[in-house]
Amino acid sequence: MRGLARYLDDIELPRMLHAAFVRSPMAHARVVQIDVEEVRGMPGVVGVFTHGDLAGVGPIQAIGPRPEIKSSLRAVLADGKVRFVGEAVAVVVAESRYIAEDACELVDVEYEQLRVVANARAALEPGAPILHADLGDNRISRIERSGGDIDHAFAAAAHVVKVSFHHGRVGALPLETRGVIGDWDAGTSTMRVWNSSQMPHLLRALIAAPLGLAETQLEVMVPAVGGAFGLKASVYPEDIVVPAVSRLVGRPVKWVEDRYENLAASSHAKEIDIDMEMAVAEDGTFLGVRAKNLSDPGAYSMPPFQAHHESLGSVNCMTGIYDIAAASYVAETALTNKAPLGVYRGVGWTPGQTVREVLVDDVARAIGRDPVELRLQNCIPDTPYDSVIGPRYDGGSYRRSLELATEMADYRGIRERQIEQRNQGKYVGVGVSPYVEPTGFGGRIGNELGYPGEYYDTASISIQADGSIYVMSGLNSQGQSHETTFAQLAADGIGARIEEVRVVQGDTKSTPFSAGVYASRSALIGAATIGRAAHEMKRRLVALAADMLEANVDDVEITHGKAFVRGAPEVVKTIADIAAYVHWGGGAAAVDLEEGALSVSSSAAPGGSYGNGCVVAVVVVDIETGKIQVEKVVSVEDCGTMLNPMIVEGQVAGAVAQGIGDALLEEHQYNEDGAFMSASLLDYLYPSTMEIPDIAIGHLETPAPGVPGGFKGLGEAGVIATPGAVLNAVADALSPFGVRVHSTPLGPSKVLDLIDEAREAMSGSA
Amino acid sequence: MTCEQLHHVSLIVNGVERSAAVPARTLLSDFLRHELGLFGTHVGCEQGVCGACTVLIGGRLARSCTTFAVQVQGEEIRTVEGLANGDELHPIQESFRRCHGLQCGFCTPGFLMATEALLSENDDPSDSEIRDFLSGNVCRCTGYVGIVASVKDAALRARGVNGSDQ
Amino acid sequence: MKPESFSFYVAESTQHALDILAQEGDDSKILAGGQSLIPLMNFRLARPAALVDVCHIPGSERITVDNAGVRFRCSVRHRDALHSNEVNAVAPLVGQALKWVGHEAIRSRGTLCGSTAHADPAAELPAVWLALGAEMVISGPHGERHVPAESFFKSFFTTDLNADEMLTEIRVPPAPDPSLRRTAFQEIARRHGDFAIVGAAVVIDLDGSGRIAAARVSALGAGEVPMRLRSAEAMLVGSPLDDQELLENVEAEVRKSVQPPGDSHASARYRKKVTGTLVRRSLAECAETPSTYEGML
Repeated sequence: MRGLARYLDDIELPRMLHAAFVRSPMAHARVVQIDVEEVRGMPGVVGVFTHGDLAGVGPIQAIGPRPEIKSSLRAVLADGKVRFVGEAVAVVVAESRYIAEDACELVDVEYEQLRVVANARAALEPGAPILHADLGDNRISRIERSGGDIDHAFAAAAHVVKVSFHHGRVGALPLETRGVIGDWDAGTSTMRVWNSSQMPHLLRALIAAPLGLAETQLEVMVPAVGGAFGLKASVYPEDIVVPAVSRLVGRPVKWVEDRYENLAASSHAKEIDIDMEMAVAEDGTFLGVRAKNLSDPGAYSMPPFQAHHESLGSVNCMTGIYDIAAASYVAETALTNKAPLGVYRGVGWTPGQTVREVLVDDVARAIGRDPVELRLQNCIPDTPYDSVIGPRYDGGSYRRSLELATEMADYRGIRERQIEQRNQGKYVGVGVSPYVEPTGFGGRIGNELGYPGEYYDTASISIQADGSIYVMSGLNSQGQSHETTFAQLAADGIGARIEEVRVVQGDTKSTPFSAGVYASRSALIGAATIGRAAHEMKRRLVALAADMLEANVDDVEITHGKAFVRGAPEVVKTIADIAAYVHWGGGAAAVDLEEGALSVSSSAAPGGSYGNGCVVAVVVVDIETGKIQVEKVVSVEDCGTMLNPMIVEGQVAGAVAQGIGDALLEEHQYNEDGAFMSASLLDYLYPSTMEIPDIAIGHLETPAPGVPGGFKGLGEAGVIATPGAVLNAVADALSPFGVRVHSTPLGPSKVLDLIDEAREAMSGSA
Repeated sequence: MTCEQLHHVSLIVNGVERSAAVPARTLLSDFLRHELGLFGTHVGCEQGVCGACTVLIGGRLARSCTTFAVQVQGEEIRTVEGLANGDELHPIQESFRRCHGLQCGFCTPGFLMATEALLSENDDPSDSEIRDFLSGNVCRCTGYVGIVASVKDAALRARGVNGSDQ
Repeated sequence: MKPESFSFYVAESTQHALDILAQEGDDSKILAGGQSLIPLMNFRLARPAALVDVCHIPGSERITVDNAGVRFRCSVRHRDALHSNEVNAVAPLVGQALKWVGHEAIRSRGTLCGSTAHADPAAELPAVWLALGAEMVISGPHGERHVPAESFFKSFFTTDLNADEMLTEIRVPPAPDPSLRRTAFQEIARRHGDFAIVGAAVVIDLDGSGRIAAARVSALGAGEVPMRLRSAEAMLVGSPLDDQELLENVEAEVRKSVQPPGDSHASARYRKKVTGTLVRRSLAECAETPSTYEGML
């Protein structure tokens, strides 16, 4: 706020050098030769390194967690071949970033062009070039699953409605790009790394071996992070190269990703083709749903989430809030010559939710039903419900959220005015998108959704001699206000004043293990770990206070930092008094407490919980220019017990804005030769204040059973549900033309094409 | 390659004369951050699009990533560090704090400077005037809801009306 | 994304600037506000060996409004033109278009001459100069020459300027009868403040009976340079402005006459169609809006 927060690029170490990368201009090529001679003598250049200079460093390993997913390797600098535009080929280390970039231009790389795999369909064609010879072909994963009697469902259907949907390639694009500082301390054989990561402990675990270090030789520190949204939750080549070259040159080295690198070469997200069809009974009952998808994960599988995450995620949510007795899917992924897909808020769920909700609207139009009524007819109960295809919902407000959101948006009123407005040439549309999403990814939900593995997190709380309180969490904030939330959790749990609590996060040396901040984990995990530690801390404080007050522990209360005997609040021991008693008074020995009485560490492996809600969008479409104005968005959220409404609303609104960007503006484009077309922020379009309407937010609270405090996560819902609502609203506005909307993003040029195509189809069939 | 010629650049930054000798190609954003140590001005794109690096040059809003330091020789520059008075937040900062106008904080300095420029010419902007004026600053966290509320709150304060007590 | 190194000069006069250009040769460039040039340099798509800053030339920030019309000297910033009451009074089309140029932070540094010389085919001002019949004043080693806007823009990012010349002034002629002039500017961009996909600028001079005496219609984003739409203009002359059928015919004519390129933001077909729509809407806006001209001050 005052310009005093320290982000990665604000860190300057003595003798620090700056790195810049030579990146491939080719989508697919053999690297014949790299000539760095011209660079070596340049004033200000300290070193230039290629794959051959980094012996023993790397590769990045992506180990398939299931037999249907192939394991793969990625060299940290191109090892004889480049597979996408922007791939790192060499690195220059120099006295300034300006000089490092000058030098990069003088590195002479000879490429021999190879045939390009431009998309996932082409990747699977016979004779397609194979990106990674050791994988045999480009199909890196293929997962099938079926639940219920799907053949019977389709045989019994009165109507079958299908969509073939393409969700475009987008990017998380945090405003702060990625960055890494490596600082090798030869004296202690310790590598200090600053990295703007969402998962310092996992990053340490994943880069230690490629750097040839034990985890105890590696300290990962995360400074203030300027947004992440998933982009900073993968392992990238620079995470390893920068520390490695610091070790080679014996000086600290900083690399801050520039916006071109961020756009072209960090990670993209969500590109997938999904075919989905719904079997519907005469009365509108959903009988079964079938999906086949093919995701384009680019050229590499990125750990820890790997290449299959969009394709698997998008089918995991294929039944949504609907009671459907049969479902089946085939989820495939095929490597292409594009930047790798990473994870971005609402992984898999965004395209999966979007295509399902678009399909439901298509069904409603096909059978002449109101889309909201049709949804309510097929809605699951609010009680726990096992879907036929994986997720086991733990209860929510599925029906109520849809009702509340449509009420808040004045759905009925819009419908009533719609015809009249059309007659006046104003095309208004309204779209709904109810959702249920996994939050607080943990072992139980992970296993339900086909990501086998266990997840555990730890937090510790310690009280210093003056009564001030440290909360140490491996979960670090990138704008989710963890400091506030965690301090509040700890203060409430202990009975302390929030002002006394200091949250420490993002440093692997001082904070205990966490599996990281992604998939809306923080609220649940924070509550589970910090809540548990705080509870234990309170128990100890009460015991100590009872000793000091010469009272029975059952009679002692502690609140707002003060302990007293119930009914006698005039005699008080503050937490500072208790801390002094333990640290200096010696009297604590009288209490039966173990060593380190005021230091508590607590682990938890919560299974997670499903949050739910509904987004409604209202749009106006200019049918002559194709310009879409989003007039209003209503988002109703049920994230269980709410910790802090203001933080919740901030998360919701931010995610809704990203969802609008996803639906209408944002796209990473490649041409058929694999050339990258979105190299600037004038090509990749962030929404501005003018594209985002005011966002109305409604709250429902269905506490999560089995989660301390009843918290559910919520960070991703807006990105998951908003695109479907917006697309449905556009299709609704354009329903007089018979337009169906089956791709993102929906720019004005595409809108006019859709209107023209629909008009042609209508006149053709007339 | 020969060593680059250095230019002596002297600016009045937040009321204080600051100078350094830098190559002509030094962007004002890099000059402020890495020569003067004023890290509050953030760099989000160096493409002149995101607005994170927005400062005031001679009282006017400008992007420091698309300005060379040598171009603004002798000019008055205001950065986010010049807003607060010691520990006392500037009223605009106070509004952003109270109305949840920031999450990760990376875009915030640019929005604060843009708000300062807006309110200095219009102390009662409508919602659409606020959105239009701030449209050159990108926020990826808030969906702009908290930001627009903060600017309205700051405008109220600037007009001497007590801001909202959220 | 850091620019390449360059030699930097601050010009003290137009002659001084020209001398430096002559001395530094073809790789030297004029630097005004830098809002087009510096992003390109950061991308290393532009690599001038020398830059000549013309913003400190005395008087270069001046806007002159008199009987000869409006003159914008070489370092007049967008913001100053947009907020100039004089300019808004006699040439409101400039302000109508400048609202669409970038954002406040860009308009406070960017200059009219700079973005005109940059000649982005999707930029607003070049189309405005065409519609207003403006004249470009170019200074070079052999003195000054005056070039009509229509001959100034040659192709993508290319103008009539030679490497040893600079654009020192843009002159907008006065309206024959300001009270009978109508102007409008419309554009479509995917995102507010971005370069347009397509746009249209319209200047209509009515006769005393309300019929169109002269029409100048230009389009941006519809080709590799901003262009006059002469066949559409010809259709307008002699007719009343509020003739709905005429406007629809003009729209169809525009669609036929432009041959725009397609790119990642919009197809050629889209640009063709919407250029026609925006011309029609601009004309309708002229018909609906009373004159904002206040004549010569």
